[in-house]
Amino acid sequence: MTMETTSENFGADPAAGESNGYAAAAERGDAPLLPSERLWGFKEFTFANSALAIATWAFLIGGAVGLFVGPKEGIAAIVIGNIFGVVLTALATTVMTGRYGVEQFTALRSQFGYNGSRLVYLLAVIVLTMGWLAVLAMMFGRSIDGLTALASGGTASPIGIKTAIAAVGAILLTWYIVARGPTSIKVFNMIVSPALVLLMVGMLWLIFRQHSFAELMAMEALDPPFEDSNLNFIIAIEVNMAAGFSWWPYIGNLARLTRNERTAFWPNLVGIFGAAVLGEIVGLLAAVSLGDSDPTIWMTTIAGVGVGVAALGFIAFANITSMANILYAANVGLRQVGTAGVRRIGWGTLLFGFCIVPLLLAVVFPQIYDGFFIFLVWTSALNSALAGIGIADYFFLRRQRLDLRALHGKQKNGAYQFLGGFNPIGLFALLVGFVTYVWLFNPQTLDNVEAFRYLTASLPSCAMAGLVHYVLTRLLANRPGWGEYPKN
Amino acid sequence: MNEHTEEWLAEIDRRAAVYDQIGEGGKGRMTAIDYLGIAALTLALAAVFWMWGT
Repeated sequence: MTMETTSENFGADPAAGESNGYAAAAERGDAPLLPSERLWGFKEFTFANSALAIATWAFLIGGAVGLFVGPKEGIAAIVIGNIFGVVLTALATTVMTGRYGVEQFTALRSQFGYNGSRLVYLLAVIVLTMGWLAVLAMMFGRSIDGLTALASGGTASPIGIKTAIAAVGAILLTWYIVARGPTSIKVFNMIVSPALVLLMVGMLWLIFRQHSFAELMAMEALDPPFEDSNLNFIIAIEVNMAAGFSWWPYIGNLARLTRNERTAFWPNLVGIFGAAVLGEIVGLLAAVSLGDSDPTIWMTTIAGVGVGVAALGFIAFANITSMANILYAANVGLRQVGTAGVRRIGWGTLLFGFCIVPLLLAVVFPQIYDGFFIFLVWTSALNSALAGIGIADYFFLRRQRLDLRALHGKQKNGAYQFLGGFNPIGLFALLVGFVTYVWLFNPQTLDNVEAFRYLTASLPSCAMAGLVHYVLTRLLANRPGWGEYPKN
Repeated sequence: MNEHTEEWLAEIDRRAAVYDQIGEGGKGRMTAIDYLGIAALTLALAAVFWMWGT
């Protein structure tokens, strides 16, 4: 085997030589998982999704919605935005990984080429996941800092040394859990997830004990950016759509651990959609009625220190479950888009390497936490386009058929060679989707064009990217033989 | 084991063959009813909450 060939090859775990080694390699994404090797049924995947969705971020997104609109419009925006975002994202990722047990970024070679999938991974996962890990770790750190301040009667310091130490501890604990493999994540999810749902129901009860439903629904937005309430409502929907699409890099690689397509798809609506909606509604109602979306602050005010400390401790650890799920999904992908050298690195070492930047961010640049909301909406410019391309490619162009041998075999001169390993059509469609989004709505400044008020930005971005990918592939891909799409 | 040895490619082939054998009729496949259900649920939730919220 030549060096050149090796550098372009994907596949085996070097440690995997025995049959159990193959199973381990498949678990880490190097080969398709067989149905008998998949861990999660409907209940387990629902718990995993719920554990992923319920974290402090859900409360903060809910609180951010409260800035734009009042609780009634906010609840509507949360439901509408999340259902579109979650359904489109799940269709683009979980159905194919659930059918074939294939790793998401390996499957993506059929859409973007083997080098194109690396580029997409770099754009959509490396930056995003490292940022999310740092933000979630800081959320954990802030909760712990708030807890200790409460218990000791002192003052919380969100960017103090205690917060930084707790954030570092959160990342290291996450690394430890994920290094032990998906079984460990499953156990963690099964314990934490149901308790989190109960806790949020308890939080809702505490809020409703303070204000009646009618009182809450009559409350106003905290800081509406525009006088036009319809525009504020659409922005609130867009924020929630961004939250729904933000699962794109992760749920495909979790869904491949499920036993079949239906089990890969439907739990997303119970777990991710249902749990995120519940968490966001709690954050929204708390923000508008109690002045703060962060339960670290309002729980103790209305529930007393004892209950507050216990609940906050649990919420702090909820961030760990989210971190564990995204770190696992991102690193399974990294092994596939990386070079042979990357795959030779041990699982635990690779995970730790991935954690270094989040560790530095949490310690050196805690200000990243304050850019959380803008960061979230920017990600939708990419994720919504990726979802559109995924749906067009898998359902309409390939009619749900992937060539597993071509996806996992030698890539050079293979079925997914495209042009130098890049599918120019897929990448152009991604660019079109991104530009469409930013033209309609600028997350940084909230500037928007008239069409945004009727269409949002994520839906047109998703539709345009999918349409461009479909039409150009039909017109241009057959002659050079790019991607070996079915002819009819 | 080196990447893409005959042994590894045979293992990939074995796994792919399992899915070839399952074919289109595997257990738990999404059907037209599933997709119609998703579309109906999405549109119904969007319409109901749009009317309620605005």
